[in-house]
Amino acid sequence: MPDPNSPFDLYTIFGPVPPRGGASGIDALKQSLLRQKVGGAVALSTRAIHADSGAGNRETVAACAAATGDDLVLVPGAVADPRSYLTTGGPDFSGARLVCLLPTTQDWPLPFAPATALFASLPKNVPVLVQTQRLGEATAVGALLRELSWSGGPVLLSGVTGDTLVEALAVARSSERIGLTTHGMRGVGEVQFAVSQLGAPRIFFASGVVGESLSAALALVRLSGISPEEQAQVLGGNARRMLGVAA
Amino acid sequence: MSSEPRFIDVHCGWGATPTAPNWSDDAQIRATLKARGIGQAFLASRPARLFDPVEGNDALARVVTENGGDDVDLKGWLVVNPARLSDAIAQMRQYLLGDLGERFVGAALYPDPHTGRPVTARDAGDIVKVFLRYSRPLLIYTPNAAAMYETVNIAQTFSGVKIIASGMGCDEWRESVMLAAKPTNLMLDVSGALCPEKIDFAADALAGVRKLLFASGAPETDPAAVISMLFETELSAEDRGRILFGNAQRLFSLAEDETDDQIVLSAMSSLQP
Repeated sequence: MPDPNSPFDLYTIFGPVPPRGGASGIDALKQSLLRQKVGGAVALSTRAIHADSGAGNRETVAACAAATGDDLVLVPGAVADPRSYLTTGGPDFSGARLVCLLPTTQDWPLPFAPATALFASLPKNVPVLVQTQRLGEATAVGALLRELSWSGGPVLLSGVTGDTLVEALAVARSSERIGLTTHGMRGVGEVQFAVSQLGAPRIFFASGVVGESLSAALALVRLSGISPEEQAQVLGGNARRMLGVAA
Repeated sequence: MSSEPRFIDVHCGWGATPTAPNWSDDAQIRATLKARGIGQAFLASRPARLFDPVEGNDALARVVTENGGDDVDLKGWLVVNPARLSDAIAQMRQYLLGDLGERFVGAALYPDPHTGRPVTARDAGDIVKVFLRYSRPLLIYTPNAAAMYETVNIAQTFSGVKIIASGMGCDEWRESVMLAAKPTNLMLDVSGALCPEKIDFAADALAGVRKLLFASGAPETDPAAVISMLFETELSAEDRGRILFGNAQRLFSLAEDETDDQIVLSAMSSLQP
């Protein structure tokens, strides 16, 4: 069983990414995580992100089950793609422990009517990660949650840095259900600023590996100046508690 | 293993941001850089880049001319704007000659802060012609492949000046590296996308690391992230050292570090997995 105090990465991907090329299957992801002594992660397949969310999400569940071992726990995440919401007979999130909406990567806007309808149909017991990388997106998510009187699981805003971090923090301060991931944060002081604004229990470590540097993402938390207790929460404790993962 | 800060960050910003409100306080900057193993950093004024070059450069000059600490040496880039040609010429004369000339390493050009339009040879030609006389490196920020294309054009037009393309084209690093391969007077700093794959790709495409320099772009990017990314690549320790300080020592005619300690995350030991 992995070290329960090791980092837990809330956003990792596996599978081919055409602009980058190279090997990036589940084994490459696993090796990257083990090299940095990360004990657990939520994984998404690039098939689900870029091609077919239904088939890709099923692929993720199977790959995570096969890759989980004594030294690493891989938890399946599901991509919720509002563009195919009406054409696939409704979303299937079977087996997923985290549902992800990725407007920037998939290039759809917020607000977006299909996304609103999709959000309303999400299972209420599963946390939701929403990429809010562009200015205005975090604000739109905040408005969406108010419109739906959201009573489901935690909603995590992700991919924010600089001005979008300030925006996301303003939105998150309005609701206890909203947290942030560290994915996208890169500036001096950003992790510390987020922790000071929301408290460590609402900040979750995420890297975007394999396309992005896992080592850099870890360094940003470890050199952020937050206390060791806060680091432990951000790097893994919060995610394990939210997802119900023991190790 | 040496714990002395020795890495050279060839491009940092200077000036506060909402999440780094102390990034105009040289003591805070030095403390942050030292904790990341950086012994020397070249700063460009954010106010000069975004607002007023004259006021911003003057403010930075006060910081880099004060000897605020032995551990981390802060020097400056003089931000020049093609729309402020006469001011740029006057400030080059003021800050790139004599004693003050020791505290500024060269001039820096940035895309239009309002439109993002990249620096072009047509816009910057007059400034670069004047700047050639100072025999200093010129830094051009290249946040995408279009900006790198223009920078390559400038490098080919002005082959007598050493140019650093900063940012490596950010997310468009693959195309940017390919574009930058040809001009022998063009170097790249490794700031931009936090993707170790781009460094391995660049080392291959550029036939080695001699054209690569370490830069962070702080405070928008924490230097810890860029350094950690470099330690995630497949580079040898020697090549990593060339990027982190060796190539900069050569380019900026700095005293060479003669220690043969292994290049490790020495000042960032807590980051070792």
